[in-house]
Amino acid sequence: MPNLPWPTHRRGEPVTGDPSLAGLLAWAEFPAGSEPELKPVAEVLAALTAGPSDDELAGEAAALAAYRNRGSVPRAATRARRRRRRPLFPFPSVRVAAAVAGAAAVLSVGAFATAAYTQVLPAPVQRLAHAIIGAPGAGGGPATGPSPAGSGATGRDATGPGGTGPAGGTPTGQAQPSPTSHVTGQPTPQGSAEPSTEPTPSDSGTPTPTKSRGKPSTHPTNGNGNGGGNGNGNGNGNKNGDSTPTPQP
Amino acid sequence: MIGDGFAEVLAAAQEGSEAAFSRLWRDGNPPLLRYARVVAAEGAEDVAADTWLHVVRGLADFRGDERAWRAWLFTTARRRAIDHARRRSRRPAGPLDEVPPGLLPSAPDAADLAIERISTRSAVALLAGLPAIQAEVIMLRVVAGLDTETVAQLVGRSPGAVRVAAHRGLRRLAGILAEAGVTL
Repeated sequence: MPNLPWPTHRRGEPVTGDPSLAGLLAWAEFPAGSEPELKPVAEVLAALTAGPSDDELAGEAAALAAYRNRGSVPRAATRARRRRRRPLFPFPSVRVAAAVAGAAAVLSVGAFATAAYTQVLPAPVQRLAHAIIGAPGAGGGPATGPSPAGSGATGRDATGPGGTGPAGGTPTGQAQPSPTSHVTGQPTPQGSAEPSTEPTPSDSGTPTPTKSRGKPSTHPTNGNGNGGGNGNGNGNGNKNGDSTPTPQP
Repeated sequence: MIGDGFAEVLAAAQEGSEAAFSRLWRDGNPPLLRYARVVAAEGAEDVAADTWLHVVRGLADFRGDERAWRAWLFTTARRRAIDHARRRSRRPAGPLDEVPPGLLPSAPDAADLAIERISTRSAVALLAGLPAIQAEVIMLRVVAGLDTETVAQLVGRSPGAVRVAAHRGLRRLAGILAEAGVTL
């Protein structure tokens, strides 16, 4: 194997050892025992660390002005003062009263919603609740229809073939969209439907995708004796969950 | 460097003492300006002024010794220099013949270097002629007085890379001076 000389420096550059360079950087002066080629470099570095010239101190007035304008109050104190905000209710009694009023309001809204969904409100109020929060309409009444298949199956699969099947229903026992069924796709508690005893194509318990696309009709006049044509009678929700009930007054 | 009294000076400046702030400024501005002249060329004064504005705003929150103070000062200066370079790149550059001759950057004459002691301004101009990272690392090590690790954090490189850049820069500087026939 040939013993080739390894180039340690570029052409034209003086050979300098790393310790010498490190010493130059650390002390910015010519270290004893360093290569003479480094002496001019040491002079340059010494010039870099020389005392300030007049032009380098010319901007002092502007810097002091900026310092003065920032204010003599330390920033931390300013920040602490900014953090101390006036409370919304300065007196404890007012705070308690506000808390009680807030709790009462929350309870009232909850009670109203509960009453609306159980349809025990007077008809005008029920209609209002239907319009505002999607509660069952005033004309519908509680889903007490005897139909085991049609009246209560309010899941997302409400347009399944089971709805048009032989399961009977009452005109008043429409499938009502309920908030819970929107979310879970499961039969709502108001739905008194048990799984249909008569097997329909959808009774297998596994909703098919073709059944799940339709929107459950919630129109009261849809009560056609077969559960409004909406229930599939098996109470199974749609796994796909992309049908959106369109409540109509 | 202020040295032993730095903590008291800093505390007084944070409390609002103009004299203390003046001392910090007089100690910090000359090296800051030299560094800015290398990394930001003709925008050095703007960079230095911007740096002090930021320092004044953050002075009350600063905690640390003199080494940390210097690191903060030069970190701020570096960011301001980067911002300045971005602003400059967005602005169209005018032709050189429209610039007054006094404002043109000039490299030191080799003959001047040979016959007289190297001035600070000439030294800065020499450094500015090196590749950017080499010049910056040398300035931060020598002028700012920061150690290799701090410089590495500041420029976002490894300590080894900083060492290599500094040594290469010094070698190149020695080569430039040797070619110019400068022997001191």
